[in-house]
Amino acid sequence: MAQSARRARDNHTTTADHIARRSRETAFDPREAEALAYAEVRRRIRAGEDFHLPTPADVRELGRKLAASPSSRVDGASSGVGESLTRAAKATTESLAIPGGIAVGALQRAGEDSIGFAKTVKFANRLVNPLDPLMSPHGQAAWNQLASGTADALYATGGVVVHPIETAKAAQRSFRGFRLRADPSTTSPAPTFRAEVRRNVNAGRAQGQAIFDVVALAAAAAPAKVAGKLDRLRPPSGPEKYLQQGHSPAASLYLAEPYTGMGHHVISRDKKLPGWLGGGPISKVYSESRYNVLKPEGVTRGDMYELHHAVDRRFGGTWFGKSLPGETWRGSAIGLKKAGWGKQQWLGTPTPVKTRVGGGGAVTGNVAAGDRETQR
Amino acid sequence: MIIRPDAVCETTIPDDPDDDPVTGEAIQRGGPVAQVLADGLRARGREVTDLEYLGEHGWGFAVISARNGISVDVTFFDDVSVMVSVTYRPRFYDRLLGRKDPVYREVLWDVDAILKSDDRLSEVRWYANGADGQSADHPIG
Repeated sequence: MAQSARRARDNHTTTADHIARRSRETAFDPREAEALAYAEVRRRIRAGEDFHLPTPADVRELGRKLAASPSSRVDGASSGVGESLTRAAKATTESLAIPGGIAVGALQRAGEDSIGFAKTVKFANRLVNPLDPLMSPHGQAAWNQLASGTADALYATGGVVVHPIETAKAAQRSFRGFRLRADPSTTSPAPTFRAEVRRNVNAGRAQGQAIFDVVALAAAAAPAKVAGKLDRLRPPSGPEKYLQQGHSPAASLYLAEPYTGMGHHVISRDKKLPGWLGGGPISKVYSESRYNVLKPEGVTRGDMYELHHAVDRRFGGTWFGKSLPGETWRGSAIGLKKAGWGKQQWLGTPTPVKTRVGGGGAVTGNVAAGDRETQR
Repeated sequence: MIIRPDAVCETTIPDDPDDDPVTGEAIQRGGPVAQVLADGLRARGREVTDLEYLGEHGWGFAVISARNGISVDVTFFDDVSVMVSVTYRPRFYDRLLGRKDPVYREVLWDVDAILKSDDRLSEVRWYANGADGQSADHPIG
């Protein structure tokens, strides 16, 4: 009797469950659910997600969920995100996710280029190592790799010249691919807030990488005269600064004037070339160029003296000449110390050298990192 | 053994250069003391270049008899003193192996002797790093 009652109760429960499940299943058209699932897959792939449904059961399951949940239900004909994301949420994703993605992308590219540059240095070290051909597998010595790499590059260059239309098409495809990755307006919005954030971060990341590449290339190629203009980003100090240091008003005005002296020579003017290069003096074309003379554009006398004091042990102070008798500038008198070795290298390097080396290193690293990607 | 390449000394040698007429920049003091040092080194058998104006580094010349680059420059220190810097620029392999050219030490001792033998120069002190920190009576030791 008791068993019969339990069975009846179980049957009743089971029947109720069954009816509820069937109601849910028949509440929508299975073909509509399937269409919704595929539309969702397409949308997420366009949004940059690595999303796929491996089995028909997964398709049905997603379709059921989409059909059953009005909040995430997406109309294939509409823009999609409008129903699930508020304007505020959209504004948040665009104003925060994209700048955040740009920063991440730039840092990521800097890291990749650094690794690529380190790889290049290691390869250059192998090129000058006389033991490398003996230590490398047959045909894998650095010089062999350089020769085959040069041949590949020539072949690729030849291909560009011989097939200009194909090259233009490839460039167009490449640009279109970049635009799809970097411009969120070219792809459909994602159905959920989280996915939309991810879509915008990915777009920002692609933008950040591109910005880093362009800046690196521009820095490497910029003429010294143009790169030197970066020094003007730092505003010149006014006479107030020098008054606070204890100089007289007349001396403060003198120190706030633009510096017109010789500047600091990174490689000293009396430095000789090594014996195997003749041992003569270094050409003035180089020794007096913007790459060797530290003299930031627009710098004031006072700021230049401070910079010179920091990077050069032989410069401790100066007098102001006959126009200001009795007035002097001494680094130690205003509490300045010589910079440490690392800081000396950074401060003592003219901006055009920094941009050339930094940009050139990044471009070299980028090419090496690109090779690595290809090899992988 | 510490090598101190920078000396500061008081001078009574007249030294009052005019400002640069083109740029208006002050021409640094130190020329007459540099000339005394160049003449002194020549008198001791060393071949040195002519005096050259080096901007804020004052006045200097190179000791060309040395295997490596050695230069001496003299610049303003304060109203009564000048700073003498004897700079050694070793060749690549000497730098790599940490080798010091013996001529460099001889030049340092010669400069010390010249500074101390001239009555117009006094209070000679040698420094290891640009007149900051501790000083000593001699350039080496």
